Amino acid sequence: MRSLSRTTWLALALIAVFALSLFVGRYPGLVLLSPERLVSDELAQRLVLNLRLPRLLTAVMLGMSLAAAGTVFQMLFGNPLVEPGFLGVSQGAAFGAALSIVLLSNAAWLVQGMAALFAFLGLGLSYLLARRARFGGWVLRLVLAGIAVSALFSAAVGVLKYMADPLRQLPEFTFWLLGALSSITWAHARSIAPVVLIALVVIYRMRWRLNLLSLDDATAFSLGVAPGRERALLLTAAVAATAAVVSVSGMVGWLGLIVPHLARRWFGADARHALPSAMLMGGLFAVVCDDLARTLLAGEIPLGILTSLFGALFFVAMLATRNIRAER
Amino acid sequence: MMAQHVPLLLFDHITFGYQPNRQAVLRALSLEIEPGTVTAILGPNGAGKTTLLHLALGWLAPQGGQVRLGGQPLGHYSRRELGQWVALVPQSERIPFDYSILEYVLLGRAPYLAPLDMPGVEDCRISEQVIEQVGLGPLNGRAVTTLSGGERQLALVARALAQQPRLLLLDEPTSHLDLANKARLIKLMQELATRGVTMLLTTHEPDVAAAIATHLVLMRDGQVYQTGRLSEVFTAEHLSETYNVPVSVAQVDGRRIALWT
Repeated sequence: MRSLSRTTWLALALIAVFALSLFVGRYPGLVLLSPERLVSDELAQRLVLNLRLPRLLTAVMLGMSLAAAGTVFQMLFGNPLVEPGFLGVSQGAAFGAALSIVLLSNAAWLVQGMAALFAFLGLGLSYLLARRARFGGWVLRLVLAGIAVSALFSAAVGVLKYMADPLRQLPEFTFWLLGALSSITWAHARSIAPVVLIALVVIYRMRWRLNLLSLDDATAFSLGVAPGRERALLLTAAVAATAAVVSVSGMVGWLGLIVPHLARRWFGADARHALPSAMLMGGLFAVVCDDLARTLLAGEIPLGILTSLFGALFFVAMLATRNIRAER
Repeated sequence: MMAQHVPLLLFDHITFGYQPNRQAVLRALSLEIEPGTVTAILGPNGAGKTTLLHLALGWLAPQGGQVRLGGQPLGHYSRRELGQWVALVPQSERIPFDYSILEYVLLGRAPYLAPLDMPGVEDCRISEQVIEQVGLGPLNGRAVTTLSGGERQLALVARALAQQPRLLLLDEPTSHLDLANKARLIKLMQELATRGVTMLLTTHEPDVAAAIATHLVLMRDGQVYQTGRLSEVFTAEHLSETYNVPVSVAQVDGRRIALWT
């Protein structure tokens, strides 16, 4: 029960940081908005309710989705080194969304639909390519295939960037590719919430099955599991959640790799504890990074830059202290 | 008329090949496993021993013939029912994350849980009991991945026992173990046998078979070459034929051992 109470602490921390973050920003002065000002200042009220609240909710959804999807990917592929960004899912979603913005329209439903479509396509391509490759173990093939597919989509995004209208589309587009929550409105938050909620509930309710699915197929089968069907369901949920958040936030890297890893180290490998803690830590990490993104400099720092910086630093530290272990 | 005789597991003229246009691994193979027996399948590498176990699980489906469990074809059972009937101790298993011994053994309770269920108090009690039974009690709390090869094999057995199966399949259970761990595992299997656990194991070591089996199946070229009680089948002549090298059988402390000459 020890880890249960620690998870509760984590949940309380997320709520506290979330509440505090509503007052953090650059209006009216640097960093903190005083509660009295909030009561008297109508502009401050509108700022908090119409800009910061949807933005913070989206940050929580983003962090939770990427961390949950990262946990699912790592456990289903039995490999602590994969995340949606490694298997062409994030890049696919980014390409789909960009394609919609540049060539079709930036209507929310279309951007999200295209992001989801290409996210699944990215995963499918990585999987097929890994199946066809003729060298190395399964995990190595999967990671290499994911890198190749991601590179392909990145290049395609580059082409779209070149085609984008330099005055009208390009600045916004570039910022979005770096990962940012600066232009999030209630419409964005509302449009992704249903998909994200359903996907996260599915993953949460099936979290103990993740342990079973991390074993070899024949073993999982001998334990009464339907490995193919259950994997497909969990992957669908993970990819759908990732595509939804990427479609509004752009590319936010590394979170999905590092957070599940830390959650496993601190709360144990069993996904009954590791998954909820990873989701809470992901939410917390995204909210804190976004607080920094909007206060550190006068202009916004793209969120993706901060998460990549912290994530990569963590990763280097973990590699250096040999805390990553991968068999096969 | 006598009561109808129903073996626990029946392979009825099984034909199986991994690829349709290549030679079949098993050809019209028939075999019966009686409840309460310990049957060792002995044969050279590539004789189709592991394939046979995977067919008994339902993981592989035969192209010809039928596998029957408790008198019913495997298709009669749901996947979870199959998991309650038959458990597998794989030859080796990749464990990608640092599950504790208890967390790992609890996975054996999956056949008794619906897809959205979590293991409960009773599942924990049963798991802790089998952990004691295999002798891992003192190590409880350690991660499975930090165990030695022998201890890890015991953890695999414990997980299979947590399924409370009527039939325990063991695929080369001793092949990676040193002498002391081999002795430890064989002793555990002997204890399980005295409790009436039906076991079907594959091995390429005749001495392991001689130490625990009541019945022996000699396989060669995808077919059963000889089968019967250990005392009848474990002979120099049969073993020589199976492995295609001259083998002599000696008796030491009441146990038979095979020597190649």
